[in-house]
Amino acid sequence: MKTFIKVIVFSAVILSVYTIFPMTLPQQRSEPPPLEEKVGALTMDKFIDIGKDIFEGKRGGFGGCILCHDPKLRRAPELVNMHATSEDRLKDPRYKGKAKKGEEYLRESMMEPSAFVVAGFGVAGSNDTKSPMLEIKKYLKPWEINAAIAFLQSKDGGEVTVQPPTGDEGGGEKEAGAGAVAAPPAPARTPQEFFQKYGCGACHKHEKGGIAGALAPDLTHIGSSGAKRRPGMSARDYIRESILNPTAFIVPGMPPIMPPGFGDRMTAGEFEMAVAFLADSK
Amino acid sequence: MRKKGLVTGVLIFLIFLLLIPLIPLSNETVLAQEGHSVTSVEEAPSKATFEAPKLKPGDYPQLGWVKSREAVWVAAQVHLFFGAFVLAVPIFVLVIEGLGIFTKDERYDHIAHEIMKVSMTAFSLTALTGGLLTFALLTLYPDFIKYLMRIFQPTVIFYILAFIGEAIVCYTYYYSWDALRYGTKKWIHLTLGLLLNTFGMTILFIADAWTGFMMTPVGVDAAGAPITDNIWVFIRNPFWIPLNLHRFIANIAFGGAIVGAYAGYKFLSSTTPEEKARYDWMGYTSNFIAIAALLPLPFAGYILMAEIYAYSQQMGITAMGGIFAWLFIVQATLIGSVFLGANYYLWCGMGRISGAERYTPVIKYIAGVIVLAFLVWLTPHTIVMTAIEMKKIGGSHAALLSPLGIMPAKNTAANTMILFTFLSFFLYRRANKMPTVGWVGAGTVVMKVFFAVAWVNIIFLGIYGYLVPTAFKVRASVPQVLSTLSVALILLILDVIMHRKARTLGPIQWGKMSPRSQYALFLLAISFTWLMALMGYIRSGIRQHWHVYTIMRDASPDAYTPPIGHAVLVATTATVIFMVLVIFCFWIAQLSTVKQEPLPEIAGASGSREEER
Ligand code: HEC
Ligand code: HEC
Repeated sequence: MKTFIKVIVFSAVILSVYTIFPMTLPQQRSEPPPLEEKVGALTMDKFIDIGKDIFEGKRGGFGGCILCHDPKLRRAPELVNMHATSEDRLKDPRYKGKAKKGEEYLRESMMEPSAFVVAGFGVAGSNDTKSPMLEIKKYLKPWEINAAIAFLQSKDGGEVTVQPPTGDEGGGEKEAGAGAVAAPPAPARTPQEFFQKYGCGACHKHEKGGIAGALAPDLTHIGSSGAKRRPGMSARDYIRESILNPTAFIVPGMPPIMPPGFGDRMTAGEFEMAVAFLADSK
Repeated sequence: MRKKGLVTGVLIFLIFLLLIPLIPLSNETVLAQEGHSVTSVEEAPSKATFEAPKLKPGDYPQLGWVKSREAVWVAAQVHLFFGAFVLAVPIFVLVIEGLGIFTKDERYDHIAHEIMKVSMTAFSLTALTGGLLTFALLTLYPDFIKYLMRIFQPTVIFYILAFIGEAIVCYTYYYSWDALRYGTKKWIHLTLGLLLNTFGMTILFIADAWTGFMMTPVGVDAAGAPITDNIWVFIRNPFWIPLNLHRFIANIAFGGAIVGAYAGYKFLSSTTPEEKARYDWMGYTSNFIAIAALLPLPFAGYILMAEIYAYSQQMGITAMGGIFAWLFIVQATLIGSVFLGANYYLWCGMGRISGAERYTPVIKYIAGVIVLAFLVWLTPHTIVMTAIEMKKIGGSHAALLSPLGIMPAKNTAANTMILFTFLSFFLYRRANKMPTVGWVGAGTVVMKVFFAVAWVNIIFLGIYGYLVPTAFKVRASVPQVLSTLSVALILLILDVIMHRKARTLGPIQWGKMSPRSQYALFLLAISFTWLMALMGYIRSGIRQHWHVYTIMRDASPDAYTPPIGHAVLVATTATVIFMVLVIFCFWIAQLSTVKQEPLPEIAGASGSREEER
């Protein structure tokens, strides 16, 4: 019996050490990303929050307006005081669009960016007639565009003129309105879909991939140029790294603006597919 | 003169062998390992039309005060402990029984039989905890388990069949032990043992397919709908083979550790010298099996991690960065203490060997090296960041490494620890023998030089690893491992040849072992058990908020990743429950008076024999 007790005590001491040591390490609980909310009747606050999420790239699947409208990047006009700026634009002699109200101007900026191009921000060589801005309507439903407008109007204290979706209007979202928890967006099946879904085209160009951004390196031949970027690293490894951890290596002469969070958002299958496609783009 | 030439020749050849792995692997090999496609599916498009259900928090039944996740977690862990134990026991019982036939040493057969005896209750407890786990899953996570079983329908039947087979053969194997003791009948008995293992492995491999699918699903589209009718595609997911391998090896180590602790306890409570000798020997043998299985385990773990990275970089980053990184440090602490414990046990064991005095002075140096390597291994390799910080820098921790904390240093330390543990064992093995062959001097020089060259090579590769990009760092670890393995192999072969006609310096005096040394056996058993719970949590935890990674979301309120403290508490709880139940098993086995026991259990009657750990 004495032996038994000794052994038990010894074991208990060891187990306690094992248990207590990790307790002294940093304790942090990580929450899962939120399940998507019901679309249906939304309060105005919630509506504006959704607009903010779109702006910051947490929603919409294209990386967010902040991709370009980040004042530090100077790629696009800073979106401040838009409730007032939008009204001013309508009075601009260059303005030829159809909007009559500030709200309509903002919507038009997203639906047809080239209707009016802010001076100095047009596609190079187009003399400010063509906008480099994404075709947001490909990514956002009309009610989501309204949410973005609501966010822009309210952000600097303006009056919100758009209304949140009510009941089954829900932006026409039948299945979402039924209270289902939204699934993650369907995964891209082709490289083209992939580029669309993650908005790589906002910055990059790839001929076969069907994207033509002009803010970042052309990826059309990344399969061969990528192999030369980092000594000892194959094109495939380099491309993986470029997407998962863009700051690990900055292409000389390029701004470090590629967003880092892509790896979190894509599925393994999508990622592998894109890497394989890019590595084969010789 | 000719002899000298020969020695040099052999040396050069051996050093050449060491260097072969340095010839760099071609780029293609590395890519071929990493770039296997994730969704490749052959033929047979699926006729099945169902998707993974998209759940809401309300879809998870809550049973009053029961915490769903913890309930399933503990049930699964305890079931896994027992599963691992009862899978391991037949493996080494079979091996020991076979050894008994070949060496004609009766002790082997006795120990094999006794291990079987004390494990019988564990078989029932495995089934019982398995039932509990199934029940918990079905009540608490009904939609998930239905989906998984729908995908794997045909395998479930095989699983049940294998389970019934296992039960029948297990009882037959145990109860026919004495009836089939000698002659040809013994071979029938061995065949039964083999059959038992076949059923056991089948069960393991099927369960691994399910687990693997949850980690690295293939054969389904993003909504979870099967895109093939070929069940083999789901089974053969990227995680399957590495998981089979890793669990197979780990089970043996685990089983060995538990049986070793059993022997340790029996040793401590033995009163007669014969009993002491018997259990000392049993403890030594089990410990040997456990450590032998532990040595390749890091490599199996490496394959597992590589497969995770190849499947999903994101999952790999989750595992190696952020909060999970801390758990790897905890793991390193435990493995380090296991190594120290194992070495301590070997050194104590030299006390029972006449002739071992020759090596006593060396031991303090071995101890010194191992402790140093242990410390390097422990050096944290990331300063852990908050999730937000992680996001900001894209999951990388490159900038925050301390020089001792990065992989080449760890690999060097790990290989050094293994190398010197091997040395302890090597010295132990030859302690009571005095070689008589003519080339002893030369042979010893060859061994020493080879050992030294290998160690220098390991350290050199470690330093070299700092200077090259990551891909090469990983590659440098291969020759390091090969150096370690070739030392073990070649020294053992040379030693066996050298000691062919060796003169013994005296018998091994089994039982002449300090009581304190036995605590190393308990340390080992507890560490292995707890480590298994911890690593199991990491394996499962890196799925984060997914039931099936990226396919089926965990929408329950428990989908968060708990803080480390919470996780280790659950691991400890499972360990304690398991320990108590194992003690119960051994105690029950003690109660049954086993007639064929050649040594009457005097201690059994004295009441001091509650059981063991
Ligand atoms: C690919 C980069 C890019 C993205 C992404 C982008 N924009 Fe733009 N945006 C621009 C550029 C460049 C301009 C200036 C040229 C123009 O007026 O069309 C602009 C102009 C605008 C204007 C007019 C600004 C003014 O001062 O008149 C608004 C409003 C606007 N964007 C809103 C948005 C919103 C809302 C989003 C997100 C839903 C967004 N943009 C996403 C590049 C982008
Ligand atoms: C906000 C603009 C932006 C977006 C969106 C973006 N990138 Fe980039 N990307 C860059 C910039 C700028 C560079 C060059 C600087 C650097 O290396 O980080 C770059 C570099 C790269 C490179 C290395 C190119 C080379 O020539 O070395 C690859 C590959 C790449 N991006 C892939 C992608 C993919 C795939 C996506 C979509 C998932 C994407 N990028 C989205 C801006 C962007």
